[in-house]
Amino acid sequence: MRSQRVLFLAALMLLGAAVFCSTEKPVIVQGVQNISVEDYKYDSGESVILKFSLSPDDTLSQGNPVKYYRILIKRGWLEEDEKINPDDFREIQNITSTAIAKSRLSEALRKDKSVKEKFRYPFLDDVNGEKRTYCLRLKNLKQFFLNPIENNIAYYRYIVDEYKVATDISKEEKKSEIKKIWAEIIKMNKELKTLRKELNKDLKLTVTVVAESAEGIKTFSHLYQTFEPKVEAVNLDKLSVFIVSIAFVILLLIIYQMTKMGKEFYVRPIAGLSAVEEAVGRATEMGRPVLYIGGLSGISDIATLASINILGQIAKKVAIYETPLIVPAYDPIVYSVMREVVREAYIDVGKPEAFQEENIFYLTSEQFAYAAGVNGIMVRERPATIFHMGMFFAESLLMSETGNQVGAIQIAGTDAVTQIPFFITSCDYTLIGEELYAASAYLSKEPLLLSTLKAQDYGKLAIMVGIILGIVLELLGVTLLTQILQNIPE
Amino acid sequence: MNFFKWLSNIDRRWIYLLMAVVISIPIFIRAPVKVKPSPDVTMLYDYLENQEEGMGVLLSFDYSPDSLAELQPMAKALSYHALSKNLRLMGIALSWPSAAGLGIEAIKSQVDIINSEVLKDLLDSAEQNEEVKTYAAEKKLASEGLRKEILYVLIAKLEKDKEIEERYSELKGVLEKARISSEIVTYEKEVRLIGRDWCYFGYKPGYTQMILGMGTDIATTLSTDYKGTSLLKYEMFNSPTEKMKNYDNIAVCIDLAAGGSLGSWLAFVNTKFGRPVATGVTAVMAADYYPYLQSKQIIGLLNGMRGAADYETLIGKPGRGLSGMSSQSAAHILIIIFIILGNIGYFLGKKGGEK
Amino acid sequence: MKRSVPLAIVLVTGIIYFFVPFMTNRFTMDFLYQTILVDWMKIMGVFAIVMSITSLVRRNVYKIQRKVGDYQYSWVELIGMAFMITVSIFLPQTPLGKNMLLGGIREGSVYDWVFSNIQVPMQATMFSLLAFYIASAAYRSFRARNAEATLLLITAGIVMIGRVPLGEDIYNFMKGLNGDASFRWSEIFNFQGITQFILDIPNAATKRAIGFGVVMGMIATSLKIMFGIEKSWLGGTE
Repeated sequence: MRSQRVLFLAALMLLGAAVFCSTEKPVIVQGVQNISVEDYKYDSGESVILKFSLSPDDTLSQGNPVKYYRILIKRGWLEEDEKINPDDFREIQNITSTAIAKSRLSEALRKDKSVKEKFRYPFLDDVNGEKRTYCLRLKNLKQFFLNPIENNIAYYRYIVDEYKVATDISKEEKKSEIKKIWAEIIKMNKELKTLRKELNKDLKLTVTVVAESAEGIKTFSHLYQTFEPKVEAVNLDKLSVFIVSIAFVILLLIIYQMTKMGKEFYVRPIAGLSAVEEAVGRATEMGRPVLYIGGLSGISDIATLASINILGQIAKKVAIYETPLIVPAYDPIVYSVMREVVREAYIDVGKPEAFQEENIFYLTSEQFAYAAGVNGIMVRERPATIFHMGMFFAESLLMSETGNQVGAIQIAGTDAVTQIPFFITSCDYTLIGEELYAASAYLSKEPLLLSTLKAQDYGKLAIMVGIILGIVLELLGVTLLTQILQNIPE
Repeated sequence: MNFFKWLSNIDRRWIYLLMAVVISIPIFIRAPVKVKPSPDVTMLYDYLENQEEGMGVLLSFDYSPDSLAELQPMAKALSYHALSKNLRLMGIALSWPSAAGLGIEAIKSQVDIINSEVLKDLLDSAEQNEEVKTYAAEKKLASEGLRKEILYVLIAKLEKDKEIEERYSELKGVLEKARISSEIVTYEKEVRLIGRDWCYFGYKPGYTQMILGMGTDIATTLSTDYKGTSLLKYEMFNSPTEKMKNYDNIAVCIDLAAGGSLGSWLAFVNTKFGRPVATGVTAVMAADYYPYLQSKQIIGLLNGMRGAADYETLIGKPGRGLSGMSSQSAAHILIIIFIILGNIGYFLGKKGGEK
Repeated sequence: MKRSVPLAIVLVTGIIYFFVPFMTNRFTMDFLYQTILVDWMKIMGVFAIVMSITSLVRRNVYKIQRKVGDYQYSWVELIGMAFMITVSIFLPQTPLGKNMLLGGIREGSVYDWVFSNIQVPMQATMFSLLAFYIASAAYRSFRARNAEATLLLITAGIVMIGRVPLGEDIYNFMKGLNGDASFRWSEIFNFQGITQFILDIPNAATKRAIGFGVVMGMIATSLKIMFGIEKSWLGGTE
């Protein structure tokens, strides 16, 4: 508040000085015309679309007499005949006229449907070259009112830190000062809480736009627009995604139910997975271990989950032959899950005594250190079979090439598109993309699990039909489908 | 026939050896190279070129030292461009603590280059000063090192950086005696100062939290810069009119990545806050990001060392990217030769076998 | 019990999080996303790290005790780990000489020195090995065995030339040879242009096609886990 007064005074002084000093009359620009506010549809009720027509004096070119447009808002709606006090308003945004001129929408961009209106803000609409309406999104309206208090709190905390390291005052003084400041901080925190509650209850606001000349003279437009942003519980922007997702869930459940009732589906064979049995058998014959690398991402990555599922299946096969299984883990959480999965697999086939806990271990979470560690294991232990399953990055080739050098059979599977070529060149079999997710179902040979693969196939079929249909319709000049699909956010 | 068989089965150690030779030689010869910048890089350059002065540019250092060779030249070229266009440069490291040092190195080196360009006359006259000369002789400083120290002291005076002033207190005294320190004030508007023209936040844990938070308020979310100074102390974050509030004041967020970090920037900065995003990535993973370029979700893509070389060409400042190009060319040619040899061996060896 | 409780948790949270992207309010973002996903993950991570370090130590101690082949490396690993933990956590931040600190992880500390002078170069070395490995892998596997392999070979060649200045030189040279003729055969040598085309069109198309499959697989895997169809992650089948 105080800073605003100071500003206001400064502006007054400037104005006075300008009037006093200049022999010429200072340029006073006309205010903006038409201010309107629309609700922004896809949010939690904290943003609106503001539109206003530029000042008639704005030339939108060099030497523009208008320098700034300042958008001011205040809490509460204006009563009728209410006297307006400019001090009640706070500036939420200011835009230079050059920035506005630059945001002019070209005819081409206006027609480009691939750019949704949502992403065009802010822009200057000049359909007939006359309308000159500037549209922008006012965001974080609640936060705007919380910011001053939050900033103060942050600043006070900073002062506390400064006090803590200060050396020029006594300890007692330090303590009492810090105590005082903390009391302030607690007070402000309470204030913040009540304000937040109030704002959540109602967010009635009034907005106005001030045009400012190059000399810094402000012209209030005397146009005030009251508004209250609406809260949308559901993001309608993503409605089509929602429908498609639900449809896929239903499809998957239907096929699952049909399999349960005895219907059989054909699932195409995948070479890499048919080879798993043989690869494990080879390790047993040669008396060498099997190495399983579960990818370099965390547990939240679905590729890692798929990899854990595959590990469960492979561990069972390995356990039957009592071949050593080495699993170096990259992520601590993934490590603990993998250890349990392998242990359970050994118990499951009735060989708990063959489970060697020290063979499932955490290596490191540094990308290339991990690659170096795995390479070391390959060279020392000389595994006969190596699995690379999960998410991989630039280290993929370092590991698979070393595996190739030690003469192991290698089966890789990843959905990291950029790493697939590396695996293809250095591994015997590579599962590409979705095959990684199918692998666990394949290895278990359980019809119920396999049925979900069929659902994926139908899903892909639907996408293909959609693409072809879209192309044909677009060529025929029908844009309905593309428009519906473009409602899907990127 | 044996020769062809050998040709198709050359021991990999020979390949490694030749590769090492071929990569190292151009580094010593330093052959001048020219590249024609690719459109993906030019797009980003043009975008920055057309920005208004005072807009922000945010560099996110999402790589660890192992991919430094490819990404550091990009960071430097982008920093130089942003600073020279008087855009306000910000840097942050979100993925790896080890990236924090890389970020400040990239930004600070470019700030120093631009500042020494701006202060060239002053530095020249300082170097000629007798007292400074005796100081340099005492400390056995070469011209380059001396200029750097003078620059640090002069900038520290404007930035009121007591730590630097203390470290070079002797030189500070010399410069004050020689009446060079006082002249720096006239350059105040032109030089790039921390907190006014650039700022580096260092490593901040909590990836998504930080990206989301910066959309509301940068200063409160990040609270301090890399030195631990409160951001609210800086003009960039406390000026009532020209402050860097959130992404709205930032022209573009550029993610320099060696991992999959771009996804978060796209999901939050581009989709949620509707601001432009660009990226620089290692060549190994670049192919992943072309679809985003097509869908206009990113406004520029710097692909590996070549991307850095392209950008260096555009800003006219050859650096590590361009100098690496000759090594890369040589390596590519060697690989092509090996592939051709392998194929000759494969075909002729097969023919021989059939006979 | 051991199975049904986790399965129930997975189902309930799965359904809740399915709706999160379609909600707009702050609660979903702040609580469901930030507090539960991000913050809880961090807390769990701490426990997991303790377990991980235990496992690492146990494996190395096991190797040393049994004198398994190359067990000496285990000494290196254990000593290295102990050293880094000691200097970073247990030693005081007392100055060591001019610009060095003994403890802590700040700039100039022993920890920092080891990191930037040992760890960083070693990691960079590992990454650089890629150049050698790619050369030998490409040499070994890029053989024109059949039509597809030949296509792959040609594409790889074009992209490799197109990404370096040499491609531009060849193109300019050929353009000179071509002159102003109406038939611009020199365009065949526009490696950079063709590379850009390959990256922009066929590469992006394949990436998308694989992407569709991957996303389908991800959704199906998640649903399988959510509905308890897939239970391997719990270990065993029953």
